[in-house]
Amino acid sequence: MSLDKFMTKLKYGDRAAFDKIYESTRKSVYYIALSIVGDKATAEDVMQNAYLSMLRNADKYRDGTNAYAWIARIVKNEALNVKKRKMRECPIDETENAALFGTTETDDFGLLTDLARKVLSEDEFTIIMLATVCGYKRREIGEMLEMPTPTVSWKYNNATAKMREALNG
Amino acid sequence: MKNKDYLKQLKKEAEFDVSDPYSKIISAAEAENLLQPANKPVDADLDAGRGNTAVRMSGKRRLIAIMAIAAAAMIVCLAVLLPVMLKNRNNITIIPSPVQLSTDDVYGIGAVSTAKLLEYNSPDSKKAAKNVINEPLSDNRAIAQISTFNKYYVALDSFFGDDVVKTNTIENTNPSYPYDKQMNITGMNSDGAQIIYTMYFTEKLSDSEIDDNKTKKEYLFTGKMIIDGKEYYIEGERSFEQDGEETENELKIRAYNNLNDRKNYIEMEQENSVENDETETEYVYSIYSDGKLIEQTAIELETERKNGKEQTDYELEFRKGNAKGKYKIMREVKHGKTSVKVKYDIDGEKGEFSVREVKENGKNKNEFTFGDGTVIGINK
Repeated sequence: MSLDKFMTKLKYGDRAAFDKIYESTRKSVYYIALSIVGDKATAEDVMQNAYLSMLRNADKYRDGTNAYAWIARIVKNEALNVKKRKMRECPIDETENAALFGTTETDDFGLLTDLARKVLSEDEFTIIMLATVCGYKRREIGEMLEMPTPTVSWKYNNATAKMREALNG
Repeated sequence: MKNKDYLKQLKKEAEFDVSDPYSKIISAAEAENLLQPANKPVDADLDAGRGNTAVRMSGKRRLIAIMAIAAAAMIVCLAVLLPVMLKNRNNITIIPSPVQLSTDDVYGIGAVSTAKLLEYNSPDSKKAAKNVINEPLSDNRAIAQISTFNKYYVALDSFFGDDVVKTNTIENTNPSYPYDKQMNITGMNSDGAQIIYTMYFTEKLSDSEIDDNKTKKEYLFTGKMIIDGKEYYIEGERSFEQDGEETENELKIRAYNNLNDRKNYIEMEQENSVENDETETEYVYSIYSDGKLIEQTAIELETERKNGKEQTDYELEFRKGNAKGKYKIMREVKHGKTSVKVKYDIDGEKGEFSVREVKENGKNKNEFTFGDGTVIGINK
């Protein structure tokens, strides 16, 4: 059953449908959130808020449209709102908000993931994670991020070139 | 470290990296009554039109009974209709089905189209000569970019149609080409004439994984493509993945004029997936000049047979510098005649033009006719 059909069932509060949607989108939601907010804890908060927002607004989803793109839009909006809120509430003490000040690394990412976060732009990081980790095709990524497919390919190529350069010195 | 090595490592890391706040989400959702509690049957109508009578999902027995009735009904229908259908064979409605390409077909199309694009992009190429038959009445962006469109159209158009693509792979016996296999790829011109391309290549298995229901294999290949007497060096990699009933093929090909010049080349990546009887194929072409990416185009294609005629639609999106464009190409073959219509959206400017092949002074040209009366002929 396609994600679109599960979204239709979700309008009736179908828990099994939510489980399927969550299972299919968890990784992509996480990486879209992480690429914008920068740290794991905030990305997890964004994930929670985004899925709850999706549940509250499930009746607004138009059947037969692109469910992945709809969910991606919710995540992006939520992540940008959280990021703006954190910037406004930014404490002066950098130890309270180390990720924002880029000081002490509070997250424990894998080595390559960490490198990717450091050398790639927000879009490049999202694209390479969606393609590599989540297995989405470029056209699907383009629909999720509302970008033309060649732009996705362009950024993907840039991302792999930057990673290769960073790894090979 | 190679691309695919660190990308594999990235995927492994992600298994441990990705957060999983499922239980927190469920608690919050239940507190707001956004989800049915676990184990409660759902009264939901799966029909796209809401407001219909809810269908209660019942137990297994009822489902089996429904399936048995449906099977019996189908048998009765066939018993009544089949004799009539066989008697009136010419009137059977053909169920639309996407054209399936074999792995060799995909290989062949990929290699030929990449080499043809390389030919078009060569500095000494004569193929880009353009003749404006009427003066343009406006600075229409589609007109300005028509030669870009034409090169992709020419690269792929000989492969679309009713059972047009045929590939035949045999052991290579030609000593001039030190490769294991020879592949002959047959396409067709819009006037029905066959075109044959030849590729010599060697393919080797580079990686293989078999795990439960999943099979994954990777191959590397090198070879030469011959088009109009000219040779192009081809190298690439292919992967095949099967997970239950879903299969996915990926192909990457690079074409060079000269192996000593590896900064100027065309790279094609192709993704093909079969899932639930739906086939999707996407090609992405990247043009590199002096080692820099200067142009990129994504092409998606879908072919269906409906009511005795075959319709091939393909969408082409390109990016060249700051220019972006999107074309939807509808190629229809009806009663043996081919017609091609193209709808475009280039940086917000929308319109339509038609394409046909003509002969002028013994040379084949594509003739593009726009809505404002402009007609442009470009050598094939």
